[in-house]
Amino acid sequence: MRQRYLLKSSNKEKTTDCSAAPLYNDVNKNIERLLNELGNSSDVSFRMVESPYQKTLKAAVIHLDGLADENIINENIMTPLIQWLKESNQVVTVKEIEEQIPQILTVSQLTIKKNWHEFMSAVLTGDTVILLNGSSKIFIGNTKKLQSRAVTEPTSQTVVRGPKDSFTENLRTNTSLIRARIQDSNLRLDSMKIGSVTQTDIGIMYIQGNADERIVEEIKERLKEIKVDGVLESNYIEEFIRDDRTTIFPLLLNTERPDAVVGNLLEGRIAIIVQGTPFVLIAPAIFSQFFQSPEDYYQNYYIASFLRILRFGSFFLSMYASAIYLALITHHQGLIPNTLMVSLMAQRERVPFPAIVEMVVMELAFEMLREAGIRMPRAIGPAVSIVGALILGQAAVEAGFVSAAVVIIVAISAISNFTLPSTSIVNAARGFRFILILISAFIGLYGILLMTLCIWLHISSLRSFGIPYFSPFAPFDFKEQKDTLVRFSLPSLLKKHQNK
Amino acid sequence: MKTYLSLLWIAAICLCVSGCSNYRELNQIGVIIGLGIDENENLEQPYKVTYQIINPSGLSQGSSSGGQGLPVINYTVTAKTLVEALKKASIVIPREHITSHLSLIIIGEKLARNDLSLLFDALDRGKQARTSIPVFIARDGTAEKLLGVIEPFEVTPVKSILSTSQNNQKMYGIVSNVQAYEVISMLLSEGKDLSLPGISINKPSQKAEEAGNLENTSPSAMQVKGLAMFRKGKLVRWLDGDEARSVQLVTSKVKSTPLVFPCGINGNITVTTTGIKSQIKTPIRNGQPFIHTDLNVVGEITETSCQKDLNNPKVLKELEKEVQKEITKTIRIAQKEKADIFGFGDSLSRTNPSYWRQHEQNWENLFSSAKVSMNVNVSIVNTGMRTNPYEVN
Repeated sequence: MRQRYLLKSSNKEKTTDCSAAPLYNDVNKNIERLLNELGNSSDVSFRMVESPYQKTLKAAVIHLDGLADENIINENIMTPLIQWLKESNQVVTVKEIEEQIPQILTVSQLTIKKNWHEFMSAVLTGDTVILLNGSSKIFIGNTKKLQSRAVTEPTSQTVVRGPKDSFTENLRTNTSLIRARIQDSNLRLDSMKIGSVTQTDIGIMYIQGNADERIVEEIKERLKEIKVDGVLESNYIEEFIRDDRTTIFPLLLNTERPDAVVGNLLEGRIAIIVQGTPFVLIAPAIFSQFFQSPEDYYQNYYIASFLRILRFGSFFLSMYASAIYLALITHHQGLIPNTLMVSLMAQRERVPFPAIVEMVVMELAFEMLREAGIRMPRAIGPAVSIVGALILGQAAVEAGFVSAAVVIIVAISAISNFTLPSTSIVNAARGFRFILILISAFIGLYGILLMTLCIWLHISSLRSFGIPYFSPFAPFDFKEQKDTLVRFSLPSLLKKHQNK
Repeated sequence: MKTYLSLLWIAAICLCVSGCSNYRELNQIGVIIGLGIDENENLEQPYKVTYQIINPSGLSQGSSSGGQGLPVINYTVTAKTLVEALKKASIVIPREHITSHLSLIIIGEKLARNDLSLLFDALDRGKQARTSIPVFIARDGTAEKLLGVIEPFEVTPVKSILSTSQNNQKMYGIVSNVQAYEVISMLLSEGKDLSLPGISINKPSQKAEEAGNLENTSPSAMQVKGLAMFRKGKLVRWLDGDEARSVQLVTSKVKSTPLVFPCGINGNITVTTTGIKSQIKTPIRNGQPFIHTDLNVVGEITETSCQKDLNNPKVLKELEKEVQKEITKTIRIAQKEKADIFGFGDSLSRTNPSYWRQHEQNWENLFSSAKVSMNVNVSIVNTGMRTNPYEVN
């Protein structure tokens, strides 16, 4: 329900009928109005400062408790302000103060605005606003301090060798992690806010000269068109801007690793960073990228190539292993070698269910275990794996409810899932696995072939920001093969880029 | 909308298609692995066919379901034709029996002596079973009896026959496996007659068909026994031991085999071959075909039981002579039976097609009267870890 509310397309203009209106000259009136609009929120904190010599000379310092950095306010705003008021014992006009304030305050960023709307948004983002009595100008000092986690090791995309830092929920931290790795003046960071209620900061990073300008423009264009109340995670953005909204395949790459983002930026892709999530989107993304781990470039390229082929193989296995097994034992027994046939028959002899039921139940049982493993409180985790391994695996086989071969096949297709560095492509494989199982139970290998054809046609028809999703396989590009299925050594990859 | 509708249609069609699929559960089929064909006394139903079917519960591993019974069950039916027999077998076989895993065919000797020319038509015509399965002759008995042996070593009798004959082909070489499609092509060919390996039980007197066979340290077992020589699809004669091996030497079907020749008074020298290459030649001289074999044997001396100077290359001459004698003897037998099991006719048809076309019909007589010549060349690559035998004082 909450999601639906947030996703509700916000056609209605917010009640900002007077947002563009200028501010009152009277400080008290302004504060009154602010409190009114925020519904007397208890975290609005303001302090009135008066000149000891001049009663009319008043200033209000306003910020949202918790969002702004109290230390900066104390040292760089309040102290100099009060000091100055104390010292300037002459009568000064409002205009003079307006001119002097930028010299008094020692905050790193100070902007002067006149608009009520900007006043509101400054307060809400954690900046400190200084209002002067008798002036319609506002002074916004940058005091944002977002509560954020420290930079830790990545939790979902770990490597053995390579950088161990990962993004956090804080946009600034994330951009700084990227900037620290690219010290080049061509690195661009464009910002915008998405979400009519949440006003979430979005950063678009690319290296000018490397990235295709048209794609940058296209991404900005699509981002601007998003009409949504709130953005809580980068998937909110992904689902709006991808080329094909019905496909199960991920058309944007997401990663929580700064080095992965930097690598992609260098290759001319564009990163979309969303405030509030450690997962950064990378566009455009092609199919083979989902099989590449940053670690491929941190270790010997023979091993890296082997691992990539292994990942493609296990992607195939996780999709097809159970379907092919089912097709063979229910439709094409003639294709099974004699000795294997004999042992399969011996296993299945006393199983009371049809093979399809057996397979689907076991696959579902695994999906349940997997889901339970994520949802389960940490302390109960080991109990689940014991239940899963012992009861579902061993006991079911020993009781003769399922054959050992099915348990093995399900285990293979489950394990092969986890070799892939990207969970989003794994989810695509999981979806297709069940379709393939059903179709293979009906029409055997013929059905698997048909479904494979459908999947291939579908993949080949996809585009990610205009780039064919299945490239460089289809359309085939021989030169690009150096870094798809296998990885050539870095010097020879460099040659590729120079030749281009 | 259109896409969704068409997807829905495809899904619906899938459901309909499933109606005519060949969905079969593994525990609802009977897998025939061996086929035995015998002659039936009743002329109305000339075939007595034995099907050996896997019994999965007899094979169950582990404690899950507990093994019951024997790993195979034989069902025998009599019928007019082989296909009729297969269908008719459903009167005794409780599950739908499939022939896709058929791995050998045994033909009873009596039937083979009668005629097996057209026996393979059903196999060649049929879609399920393959034709790449070996064919054997049940020597001195029936296929039914052979398939009934309770196999002590391998899991099933079928597996035992296959592995025994393969092992023999690798280590000794009396026979070589002949696949069904090769049988058909040999039956078709004028220039080569059929020869098939024979199988028998090594201890026919014991009760081989009872579980007690398993409790015997020297149980009844399958035995490769001789090579059946055919003329025009009829079994005419058995070749045994060295005679049978000579056929394999001439057709270079065997690689490694011990060649034994006498030396001294009671001694022997054994040469284990590591490579055998033979070439058949059929030159025509004065309008008469000659039968010539070039045989190159590479081997090593692996045993001697006589004192002889093995540094002397003349020793080899004796061995060559011995081999030549052996092979010539076998060829003479074949000539006598007018059965060209070596394929000299095939060779002639390739090297001299015009002559072959003229005399194709008369080949068996020409073969039988052709002059035999031979050139055997044995080279010893080493004599093992020593040259001359140790001297006993």
